[in-house]
Amino acid sequence: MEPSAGTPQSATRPSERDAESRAGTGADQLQLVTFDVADEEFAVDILAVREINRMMTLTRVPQSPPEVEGVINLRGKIIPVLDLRRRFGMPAGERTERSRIIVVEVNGRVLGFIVDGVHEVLRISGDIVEPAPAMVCSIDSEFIEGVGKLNDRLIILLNLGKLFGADTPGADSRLAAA
Amino acid sequence: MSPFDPEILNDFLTESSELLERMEGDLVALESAPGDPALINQVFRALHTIKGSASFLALAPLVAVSHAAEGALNAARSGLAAIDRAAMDLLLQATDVVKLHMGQLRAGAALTEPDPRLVASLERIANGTAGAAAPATPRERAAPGEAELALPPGKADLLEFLASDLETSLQSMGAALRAGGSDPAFAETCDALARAVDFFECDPLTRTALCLSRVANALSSLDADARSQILPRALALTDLLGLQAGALKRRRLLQLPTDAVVARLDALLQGEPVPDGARVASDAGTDAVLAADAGVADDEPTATTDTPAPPSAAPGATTPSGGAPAAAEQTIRVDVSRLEQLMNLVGELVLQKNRIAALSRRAAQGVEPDLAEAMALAAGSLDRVTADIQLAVMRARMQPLEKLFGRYPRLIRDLAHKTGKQIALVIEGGDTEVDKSVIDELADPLVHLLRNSADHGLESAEERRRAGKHPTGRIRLVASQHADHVRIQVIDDGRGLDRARIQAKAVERGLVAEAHAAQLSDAEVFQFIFLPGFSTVDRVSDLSGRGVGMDVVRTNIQKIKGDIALGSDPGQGTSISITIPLTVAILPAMLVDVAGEIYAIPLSNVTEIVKPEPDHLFTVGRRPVLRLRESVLPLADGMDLFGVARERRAACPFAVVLTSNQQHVGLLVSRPIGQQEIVIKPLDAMDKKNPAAKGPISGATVRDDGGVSLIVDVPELLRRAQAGPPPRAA
Repeated sequence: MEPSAGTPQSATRPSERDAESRAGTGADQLQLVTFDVADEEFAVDILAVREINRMMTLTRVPQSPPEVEGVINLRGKIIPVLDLRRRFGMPAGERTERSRIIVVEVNGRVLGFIVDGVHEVLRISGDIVEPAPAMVCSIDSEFIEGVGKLNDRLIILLNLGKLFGADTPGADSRLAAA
Repeated sequence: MSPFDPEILNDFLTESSELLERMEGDLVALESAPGDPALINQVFRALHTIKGSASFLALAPLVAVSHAAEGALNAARSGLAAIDRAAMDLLLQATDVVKLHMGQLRAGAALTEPDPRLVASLERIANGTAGAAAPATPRERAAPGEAELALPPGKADLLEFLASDLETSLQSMGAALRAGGSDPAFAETCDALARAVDFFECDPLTRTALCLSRVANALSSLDADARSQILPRALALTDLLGLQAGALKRRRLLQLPTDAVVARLDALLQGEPVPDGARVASDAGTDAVLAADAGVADDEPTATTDTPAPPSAAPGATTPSGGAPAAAEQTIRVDVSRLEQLMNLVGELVLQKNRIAALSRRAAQGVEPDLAEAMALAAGSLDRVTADIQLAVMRARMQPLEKLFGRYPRLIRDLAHKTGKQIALVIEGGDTEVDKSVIDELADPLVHLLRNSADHGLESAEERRRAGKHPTGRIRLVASQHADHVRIQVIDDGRGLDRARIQAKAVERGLVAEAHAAQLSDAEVFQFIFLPGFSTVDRVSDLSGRGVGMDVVRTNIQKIKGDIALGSDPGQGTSISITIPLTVAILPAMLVDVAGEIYAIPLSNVTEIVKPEPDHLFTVGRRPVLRLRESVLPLADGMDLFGVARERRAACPFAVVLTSNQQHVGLLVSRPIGQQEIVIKPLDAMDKKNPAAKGPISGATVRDDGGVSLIVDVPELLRRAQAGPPPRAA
């Protein structure tokens, strides 16, 4: 639950304090973990996030769907890890010092996904979130829960259920790729 | 349905199901040993326990049917009704009804009333004897007062049975007493008797029995003189109780003059001497004892003042060193989920132990030798303790196969009647223990195999006679334990498999080329039977099941990491052996490196590891093979099977020879790493919508360095190796 492990800069961002003060008055608050993938900023509900880890050695699983990078040992439990770029249909990115594995629980299933870097924990008011416009970014709008506008930032809230939940990872993208 | 605590209901269901299973086996055994009193008693007790609990839970239909069956058995017990084929059918039907009731209770449904005809038929068996009543007690003694015995209705109908039970125990007690009372079984019989008479709710009776039990438990610690006074008195008491038992059968209660004798015996046990006037000869009869003790209450005071009590006799005598009652508390029921949790924790422990061992090896280089040695020592003892815990937990989950095998005599009996064949089922090694999960998974496959043997493997009596065999076909169900696995065999002495027909069918279905087929070994030809649909589409083999092919059997066996092999001699019979590893959650594995990735292969599938010479590698029909001594082995390239990316490919000079279901394949790997005990973890990275996308992987495990390794699914790998290289890697 502690994102600072991977985000030394999080506490100092001015936008966070802005957001917090504003969120304090809002009736419908959201608490989000934000991260970036391919230079765009995304967020997921913090309640779904189990933990955030630095990159670790992945064990490849033969003949698994392309976006499944492999499996890791999460304190004795073996969980699959997906590359979010591949899940969005982009080419795989470089792994850097900033790369993180965000471990989430979706519909009772624990899995991890790789992002380019984690920013911060953000409180925002629900009313600044708007439904996704058709062409807001490079990913399928089906995966988008909404878009939050915060000062000059545009934060894309992901729908984890759509992204990983309904089927096992990649069942549909596999069809699309075929 | 029942206002009772679900926990009580659950306990009832668990206990009754167990009793029922055993009872069914006993009933079938009873058919071949009609009138065996031990078996009848066993069945009766089981049924009685079920009935008793059911009536406590107010399950009227269940009580009705078990009561009727109990009545019939009771008649059989007194030798006045024979358990013939018809009676046995009725009794088995009754157990079926009880089973049905259990199922309904489990499902929370209402109980169906038993078929009145079944109840009536059972009652007829019971009543056929009711008129003949119990034979009158041989020696009626004149005059002791007699009273009507008042018992609640639930107990009244059991009276006769328990009374004759009482007579039996009394007889054996009498014999033991005459022999000096030193037989260890004597004390046990007395204790049992004391508990049994409790049933009659009659105080004097209970007091007498308890007194006898005290005598029995103290007898060995008393001196010869005391014994000579005790034995005739105890004998007299058994004699009197014998009379009482006879009366009880007629629902009468005798007023017996036992109190005086009981008081005297207790005094004796306390170490008090018998006053001269009351001494009896060691062979004194009951009347003499009664006469001697008649005035016991009066001379009591004088007796005690005469001589001090000998200290030796006292303490042990009054407190019966209760062996028998405590024995019942030696087992407890434990929820399976708790054991499972324990098993998982032990799995974790094994992983951590492996890690510690690896760390201490690594650390050994950097520290002073003393510390390194101490660490190695600690890691070593941790290893030992963990292994012991693992074993203990595994054993807690083990159950004898008997539990499972007990169901099959009934199955075979029914099959024999249905097919009109004469079949004998011989069970061996029922005490072999396996993990509980194995018992659950084995139940269905074994039913199919036994049914196949009975249905198709064995010939009719007529056919067998013509072939010069004994008209009764024999099916042997044999379990045995070998080092780290258990083998279960189903062996029949029937006609055996018809290789020619299976081969022809395989060629017809295009599974194998005709020229190639002739070269296959018998074992390889028989493997076709395990292919889906092979046995059911056309009844090629005499082993074809009823809509359930052998492929399902094999799948079930493989689920518990087992192996199935088949052997057959034409005209001599078929044998099927199932081999199961002793534990399924933790298994020894061989770790291998395939182009930098580490895979775990169950050690039970690894036959050997070779580094083949280049001139031993060939291609046959575009498939790589390896000549290994006298045989030719198909080869599978690990990098192809696991889809290693082109740019990461490395040399794979080693071949691991893998065996499953009597088939072999050589798996090419970069290098073998070593052996390690691994804990199987479920792997969630599979595409469930597209199962074909699953690699030849059965699960994952955590290595001692904390990394994850995938476990190779050897049967699947063999299947793929035979189908040729996977298209993706090609």
